Amino acid sequence: MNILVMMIAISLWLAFIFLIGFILNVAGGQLDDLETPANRMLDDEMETQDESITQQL
Amino acid sequence: MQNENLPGAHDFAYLDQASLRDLYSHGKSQNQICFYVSGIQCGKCIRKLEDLPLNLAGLKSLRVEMNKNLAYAEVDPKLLEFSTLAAAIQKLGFTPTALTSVRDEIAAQKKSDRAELIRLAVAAACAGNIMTFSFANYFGNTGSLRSVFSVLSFLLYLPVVTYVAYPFYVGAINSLRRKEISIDLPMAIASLAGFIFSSIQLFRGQENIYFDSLSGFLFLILISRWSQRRLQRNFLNLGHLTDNFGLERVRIVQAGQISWTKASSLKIGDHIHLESGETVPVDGDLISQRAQISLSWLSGESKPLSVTAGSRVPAGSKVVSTDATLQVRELIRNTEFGKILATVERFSLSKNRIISLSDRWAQRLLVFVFTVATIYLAAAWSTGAEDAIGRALALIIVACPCAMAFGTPLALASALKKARSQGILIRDANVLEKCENIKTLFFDKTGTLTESELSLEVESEAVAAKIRSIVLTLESYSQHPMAYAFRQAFPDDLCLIAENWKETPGEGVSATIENEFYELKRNPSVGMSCTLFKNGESLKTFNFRAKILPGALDTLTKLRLKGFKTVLISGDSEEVTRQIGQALNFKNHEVLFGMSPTDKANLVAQTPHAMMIGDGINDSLAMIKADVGVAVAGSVESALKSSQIYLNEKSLDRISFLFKLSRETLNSIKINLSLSVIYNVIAGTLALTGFITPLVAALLMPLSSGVILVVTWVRGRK
Repeated sequence: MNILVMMIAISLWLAFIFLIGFILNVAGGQLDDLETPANRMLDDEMETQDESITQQL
Repeated sequence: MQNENLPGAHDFAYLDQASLRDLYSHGKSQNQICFYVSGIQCGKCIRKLEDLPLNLAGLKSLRVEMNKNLAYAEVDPKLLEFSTLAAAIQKLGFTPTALTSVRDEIAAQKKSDRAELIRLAVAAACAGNIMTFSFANYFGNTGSLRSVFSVLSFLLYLPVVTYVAYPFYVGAINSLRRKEISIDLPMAIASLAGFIFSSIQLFRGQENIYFDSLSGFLFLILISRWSQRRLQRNFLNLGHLTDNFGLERVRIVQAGQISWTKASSLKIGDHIHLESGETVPVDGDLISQRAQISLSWLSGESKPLSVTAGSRVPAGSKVVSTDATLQVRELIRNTEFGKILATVERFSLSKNRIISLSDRWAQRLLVFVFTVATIYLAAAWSTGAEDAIGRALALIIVACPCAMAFGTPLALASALKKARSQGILIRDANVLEKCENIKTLFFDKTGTLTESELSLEVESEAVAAKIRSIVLTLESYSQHPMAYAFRQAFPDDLCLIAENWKETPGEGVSATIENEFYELKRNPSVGMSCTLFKNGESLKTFNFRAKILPGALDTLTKLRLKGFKTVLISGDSEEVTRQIGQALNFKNHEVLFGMSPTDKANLVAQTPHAMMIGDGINDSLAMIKADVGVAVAGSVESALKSSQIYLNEKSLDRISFLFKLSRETLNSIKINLSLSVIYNVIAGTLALTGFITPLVAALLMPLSSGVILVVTWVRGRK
């Protein structure tokens, strides 16, 4: 009985922490744009000076 | 997508001018700027743009939002000017347009999106945990632990009833103020009534507590609405109309000096200077000796108009050859063009809400259920109040309008997704219902059934190579539509060296090439044509036409076979419009020419069940007045502001697909509604006769929702 109560408290506490974490992420703008990061990732190479761009400019 | 129509596309100096800088810059140090960037298509485009800070000194950061085509940049003003940044973006192959007031709207939308996501997260967390406790109770949890779980469910439902359900209360109150019954009303009543009833049961130590069903139900509704809104919002985030036309700024001429200024600070009598390709932001009188202007955005007329000093130039026309100086006669807000823009803006800002099929059914069902429950309560009160309350509550809970609450949004969201994969962007999903009743289709000519640009009638091979080179050389500096047509027709020919090149508005171009004097003269009396002269002697005449879009005839034939009435309306001349009409098998009475934007709008408004398919600003009023407005791509983006549907590709066969999709979606919605009615009739009868307790009703409700979800999902995958 006691262990059950303790586990319930822990699980609720965990859920609460995850919820707060999610809210902080949303408030920080991490979920503002759900498309660009997915596309950005596809071409996510080392950030070096791109000579082709320099030439274009 | 290159947008050559954008004024100032090659000249960003105005971004640095002190009087305009505050219009475009933002941030504490006024060192940030937001561009609408045309041409972002993939991860490589994002990288190209976001790597700019590595290659451009003074650019602190640049972040792209792909779904909105926006780029947010922060610069070091000492090292980099906004104009240099804009030019660098253009050099990479994109078309940047600096945005002004739209940034406030973007910020407000972001705020509202974040609030919605947080609400969704709270609903998910609470509903999930409540379910965990409820399941334990359903499967035999007894004693003090059962009470603890019930109390915990109550505590977890508090944020749901107060915070999560808040939009439903607001929606319900607003609808009551409008003397309507919306779908939010039963949600609000169910949330509050369920909370009060379950709380009373809890504190009386009784069974029948419904926190789990209610919280789960509210979460499902929120998530289905969120997914529909997200799909709808993933496009059409364009700037203000004036941003698209570049009308917020203008070059003013003062004491012989030309400088940029805000268009809002112009006064009647001021002199303004416009360069080739720019849109006239006022009604003005031409001061320059001659100029050529295009009225294509206003009237659809494809042929440029030649005007001389003193002529009135209307706002919204475009300067197509050489520069022009005008004296301001009327400010934009008082011009015909300004009034069209204002109407389009109002339409764009209004909710443009269509009373959907599900809303209508929801209203009827709700009125019926609440009436039956009240009558039953009144009739059965004397025989046993508690039993009467229980049965009435079971009826209210079991008569769930889930088909309307999330079955319909899901069907619509699925349709939006399908449409998007076919290059159709739908601003308001409910417009699919309206498509079902369309009987007459009005087609604009220029840009919709034909290309916006002119094309040369003769094949490149039929013209001698020498003549091709001479023509190209003569037209190399001209911005005239015929010059574009020549460049398109002879892409591989080389230009020669020209001396004394001169362009005379309304007449043509001339130059000395290889010691011979050549002229390319427009023939205003012979439709759209021009003649090449060598030392005054005619060499060759070229004819031009507006090219019909591929597939236009097939699509029109298919639509006519399906019983739609098709009408061609154009602001162009009778000769040109009839020529296109004949080529596309329009009957004589179905070809209407010389129509002003207002004429078009009046005709469309008077025609019941009309769809207007157009592109330019000249079609905006008609698209607003039509039951369904469809904007065709490759034209002025602002036309989207006045239409509910946007064809991403210039292919009219999408119109046929649109009607098919509309029929499929409506069928899905009707199946959902029918299932809902059957379920409600059976379950409602059982509830009133006492065969279904409120607890069983609460269990049945998610079951019926599940059936709706599965049916919608299966149909959506077809």
